[in-house]
Amino acid sequence: MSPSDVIIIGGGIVGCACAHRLAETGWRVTLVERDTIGSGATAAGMGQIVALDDSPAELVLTADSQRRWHTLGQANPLIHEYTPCGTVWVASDDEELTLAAAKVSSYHAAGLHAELLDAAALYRHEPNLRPGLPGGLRIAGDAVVYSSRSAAWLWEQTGGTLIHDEVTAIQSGGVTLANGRQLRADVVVLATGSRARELVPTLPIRPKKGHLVITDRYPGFIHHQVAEMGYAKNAHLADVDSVAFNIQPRATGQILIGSCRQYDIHTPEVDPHMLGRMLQRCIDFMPGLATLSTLRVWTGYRAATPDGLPLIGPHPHIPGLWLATGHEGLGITTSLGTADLLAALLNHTSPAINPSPYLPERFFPAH
Amino acid sequence: MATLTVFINNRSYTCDASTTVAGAITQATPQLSATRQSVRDMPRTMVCGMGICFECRVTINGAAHQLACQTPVASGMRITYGEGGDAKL
Amino acid sequence: MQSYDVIIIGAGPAGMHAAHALASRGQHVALIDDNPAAGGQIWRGVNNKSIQPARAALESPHITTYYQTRVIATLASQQLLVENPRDAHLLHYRHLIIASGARELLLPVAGWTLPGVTGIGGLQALVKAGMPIANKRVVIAGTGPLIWPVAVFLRMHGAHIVAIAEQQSLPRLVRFGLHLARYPRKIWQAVGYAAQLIGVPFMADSHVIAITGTTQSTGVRIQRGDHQFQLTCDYVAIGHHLVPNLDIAQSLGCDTTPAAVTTTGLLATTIPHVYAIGEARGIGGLDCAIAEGHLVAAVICRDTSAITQWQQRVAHERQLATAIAATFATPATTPLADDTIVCRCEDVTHAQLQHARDWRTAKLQQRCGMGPCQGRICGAATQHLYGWGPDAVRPPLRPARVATLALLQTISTDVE
Repeated sequence: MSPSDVIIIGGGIVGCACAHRLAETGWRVTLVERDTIGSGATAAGMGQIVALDDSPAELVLTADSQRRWHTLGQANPLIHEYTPCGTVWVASDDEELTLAAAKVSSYHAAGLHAELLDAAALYRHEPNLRPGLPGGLRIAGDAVVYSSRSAAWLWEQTGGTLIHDEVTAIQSGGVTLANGRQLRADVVVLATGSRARELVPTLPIRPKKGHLVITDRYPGFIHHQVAEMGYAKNAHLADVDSVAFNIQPRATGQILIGSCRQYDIHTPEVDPHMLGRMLQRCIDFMPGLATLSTLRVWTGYRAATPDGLPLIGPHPHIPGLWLATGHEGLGITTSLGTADLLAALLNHTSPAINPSPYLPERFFPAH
Repeated sequence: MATLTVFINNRSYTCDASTTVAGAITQATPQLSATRQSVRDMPRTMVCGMGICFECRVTINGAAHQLACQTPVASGMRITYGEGGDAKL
Repeated sequence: MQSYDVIIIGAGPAGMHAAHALASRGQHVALIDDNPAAGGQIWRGVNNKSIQPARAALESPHITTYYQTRVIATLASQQLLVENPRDAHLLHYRHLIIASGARELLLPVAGWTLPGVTGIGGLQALVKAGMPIANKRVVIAGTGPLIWPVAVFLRMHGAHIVAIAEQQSLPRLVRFGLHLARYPRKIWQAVGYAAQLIGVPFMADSHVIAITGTTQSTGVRIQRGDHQFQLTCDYVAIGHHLVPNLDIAQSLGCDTTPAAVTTTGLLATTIPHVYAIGEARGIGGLDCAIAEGHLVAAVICRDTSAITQWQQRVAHERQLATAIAATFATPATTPLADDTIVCRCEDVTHAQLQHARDWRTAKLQQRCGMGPCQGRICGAATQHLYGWGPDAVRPPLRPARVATLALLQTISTDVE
C-alpha cells in the first residue's frame, strides 16, 4: 500500500500525538500550526495525566491514556519531565469520603490503582492541607508531564512537513491556507481544540476559559497533584463559573495552582476577580500557599462538549474530515488514547478501546 | 553608626543597622561569592543590586526566595543560603 | 480602600519632585517604591544638593510613602494592587504618574554569571549598601554615561579601577562631549570626573569577550580592534546603558516604544489620567527627571504659568536625552559561545535559543524568561541578540505572594 497523505490542523498535544501515531502506521503527515508547536491549550494547561471517572467512557479513555503516558514517559523521562507523582483527591466532608470509597471500586474495575485515604493517611501524604479534613482518594498512577515539550517531541519523531500558517477553509480533499495556497490530502484531521468551530461552525464545542498560576520553586511543598473532589463533581459539567482547588508539583519544584472555569468569555486577559476567587479557594484548602511567591498568571481555553467527552472520528457529514477535539481539561492525558483510536479507525484495525462513545456522530442526527 | 546583629548561615554578625541583607552578606564575606546555586548548579550571587535580576535570592527567617538587595536588615534576622534544596530542573 | 488624588509610582528624582510639587499645591499624594528608601537607584543614600529639598519634603502630611512596595497589578476603575513584605493593598487614584525609572541593560557574555560580575549601577548599589570595595581590583566595562560617576564613586571608596573599557568609539564619545557643552553643570561634572579618574586607564572601542574564573570572576578578556588582551581583577562591573521600565505603563494599556512611554509634550500618556515622567519617557538623566516632576505637577494642577516655565526647561533637558540615546543606545554584542547562559533564571544557553523560531517557542520549549526575573534580564537580551519581541504584560507585574493575588477577589466584578 502506498502511503496516504493526511493534513492535521493544529499542533497542540492532540494534533502532535495524532501525527505521531499516524506516521508510525505509515501515513505521510503535514501539520499546519498557526503559532508554535505545543502552544494554545497545550501550553496553557497543567500537563496533568489523570484517570477520571465522571463517566464510564471517560474512565476508559483516561485509563488507557494514562498507561500510554507511563510507557512514553518512562522511555524518555528527561524529554517529557514525566513525574509519576499520583493524585490525591481531597474529601471536604463525610459525604465526599463516601463518594471516594465508591470511586475506589470503579478505578479498580478499570484496572487502576486507587487507595482510600483516612485522615491520618491524607496528612501523611500531604501535610500542608488544612486541618480537619476527613480523608481522600489517592490515584498512584497519575502523573505530570511537560506538555509543550512532549508535543514538540512527538512531532519531531514523525519526519512530517510542518507549515506555519492558518487554515481558512476545509474543502473536500484538502484545506486552504491564509496565504491562499491549497493543500491536498485524502484525510484532514481537525485538532484545533476550542477553536474548532472557526472552521466547522456546527461542532458542539464551547470554549471554557481557565486561569493558572505558577510559583517559584518550593520542592517538597506538595508531593502529589492535590485537588478537591468537588473539582470532578462540579467543574466539568456545571454551566456556571466555578473555582476549585487543584494544585500540582512540577518537576522543577514549582507549583501550578488552579483552577477555574468560565463559559463564553472570549477575551484572553486575566480576570482579576476570578483569579482572586480561585486563589482564595486554594488557600482555604492549603493555607501555606498564601506566602508562596507567584511568578506568572495566564489563561487558556478548554474545548468543552455537552457530554464532557471528546470528538474522535469521522465527521458524519463532511467526507474526508476527521475530528480530534473537544477534550475539555483532559487533552494532555487523553491525547495519546485519542491518537491511537483515530489511527485505528483510519487504518481499519481494531482499536484498544471501544470508539463509539467518542464518535462525533452522536451529536449529528442521521440524514 | 548604629549596628545590629543578624545570623548568616547560623553565625552571628554585627552589621550597620541601615544596610540591606545584601550589604550584611557582603560585609560578612571577604569577596563576593556564591549565595545561590542555579538550576544547573552554577554558582551565582547578586548582580543588579536593584531588585531586577533576582540572583540575590536568599532565605530570610524561613521564607525562601527573598531579595537580599531590597530587604533591610533587622535585629536577630536569620539569613540562610547555599544549602541547596532547589529542584535541579 | 485608600484613595489619593495622585499616585506616583517610583520615588526616584522624578517621582520625588512630582510628589513635592503636588503636595505643595495641596494634593494628597501616595508615593510608591520597591526600595526601602526614596532616591531611586542612583541617588538613594546619596547626599546630592539637587534632590535634597524634594527628599526632605516627603515628610509632608500630604504625602504618604509606600516603601518596599511593588505594584503587582493595574486594575480597571483606577486601582492598583500593591504588595509590601507584610501585606497587600488596593489603592485608588484620580491621577497616576509613572516615574518607574530605568534598569541596566545586562547582556550575555561568556562568564557573566560568575559571582563578582555585576551591573555598573549594580556594583554602586551594593557598595552603597555596605559591600567592602577598598583595594578590590575592578574593571568597568560596557557602555553608557553611568560608567563615569560610578568609576569616581568606586575610587572614592577605595577601589582600584584596573581599567574602564567603553565599547563606543572615541569620535562618538567626543561628539557626545561636545553636546554637553550646552549644559554648563554637566561640563563641570565631566571635568570633575576626569580629574578624579586621573591615572585610570581608559579604553574606547573595547569589548569584553569573556569573563574568566571558575567559582568567581578573576579576570576579563577584552577585544580592541584586532587585538585581544587579558586583565586580572576581582570584580567586573559591566552594563550596556539603561532601558526604561515600561511594564506598568504597558499593563495600563499605554502606548510605548522600546525606548519610552509615548507621551504628549504635557506628559500625558495615551491612557486618560495617566502620565509618565523621567526615564520612563526615555533615558534623560537627573535634571530632566527633576524638570518633568515639576511639570507634571503643574499640568495636573493646571498651573498655567508653571506649565510654560517647566515645559521650556524640559525641552532643553530632553535634547540631552536625544544625544545620550544617539551615543549609547545601541550597544554591540560580541558573538556568543554556544554554552553561554542567556536566561540566568532557567539556565538556558545560546545554543538552545539561537535556532528557536521565536520568543514564544523559546519560552514554551526551554523555559527562557519563565523564571523569577520574569524575563527582565533575558527579555531585553534576547530582543537584542535575536530580535525577539516583548510579550504582552500580565499580572503579577512582579513576583507576588499567592495571598496578594487572592485579595483581587474583593474587587467588584462589574468594574471589569
